[in-house]
Amino acid sequence: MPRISSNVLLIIAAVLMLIAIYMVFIYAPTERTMGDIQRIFYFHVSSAWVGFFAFGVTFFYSAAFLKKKDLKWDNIAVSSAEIGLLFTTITLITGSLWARPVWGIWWTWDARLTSTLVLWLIYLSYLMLRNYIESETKRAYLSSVVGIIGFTNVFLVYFSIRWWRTQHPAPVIAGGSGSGLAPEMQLTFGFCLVAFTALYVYILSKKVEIGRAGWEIEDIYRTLDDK
Amino acid sequence: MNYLYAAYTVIWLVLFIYMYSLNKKQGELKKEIDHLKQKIAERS
Repeated sequence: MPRISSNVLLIIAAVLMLIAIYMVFIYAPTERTMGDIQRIFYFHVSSAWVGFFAFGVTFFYSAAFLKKKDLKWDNIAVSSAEIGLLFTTITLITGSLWARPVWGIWWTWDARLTSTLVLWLIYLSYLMLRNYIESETKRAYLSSVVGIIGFTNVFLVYFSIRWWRTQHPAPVIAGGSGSGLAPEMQLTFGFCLVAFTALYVYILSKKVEIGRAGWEIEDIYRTLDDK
Repeated sequence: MNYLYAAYTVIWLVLFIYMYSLNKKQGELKKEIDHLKQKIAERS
């Protein structure tokens, strides 16, 4: 399969993102109860989706590393974990900025918010753990285990608003009777999910390239030492 | 409305800073690779 250059991925992500911004601010109707502040929803939930997806990719490639013992899988796993952490940070900040005018508070220790913070801390520890281990193989083994175990928390975050009564709103997609979005809002939301996923793919390709460049430098130094 | 603008500003600021740092790092690594390759060529 031919490899798509990161510049092409960047152009695709940028075009999709521009359309997404247009849809969020112009196309989507204003929500009746919350007004314009509800427009945070589109990027807030899309960021959360990318975070979950990125941690899912980390889980998959961590398992692949443990099976094949190939460091290239570890490179993808750690790259995806870093991006997942970035988007979960965005989710937490935008959630807080949405909560303040709607709930009157910046933060509350309810099941959804707390489990998301725990998820964020798990992947922060994952990245910190890697910095403390010098051996490349040992680092990859240990972080793969954390990457696999840490992913279970994604399910806890996802189901928290279904299992417990929370301050956080009930799910609007697949949330049972009384839930749902207006068709224009649904389309805007779907488009934002696609745009954010495209941005994730672009950033992941960049991160993986950087990891490969690091190995190339190490190889060159080894060659120089041999000569 | 201020919270809405703040949220979107934060999103783009965080993403731009992160992507800028990635580009910068990639540029530095590429420069180092070119430099090292040149060194190898000189030695041989």
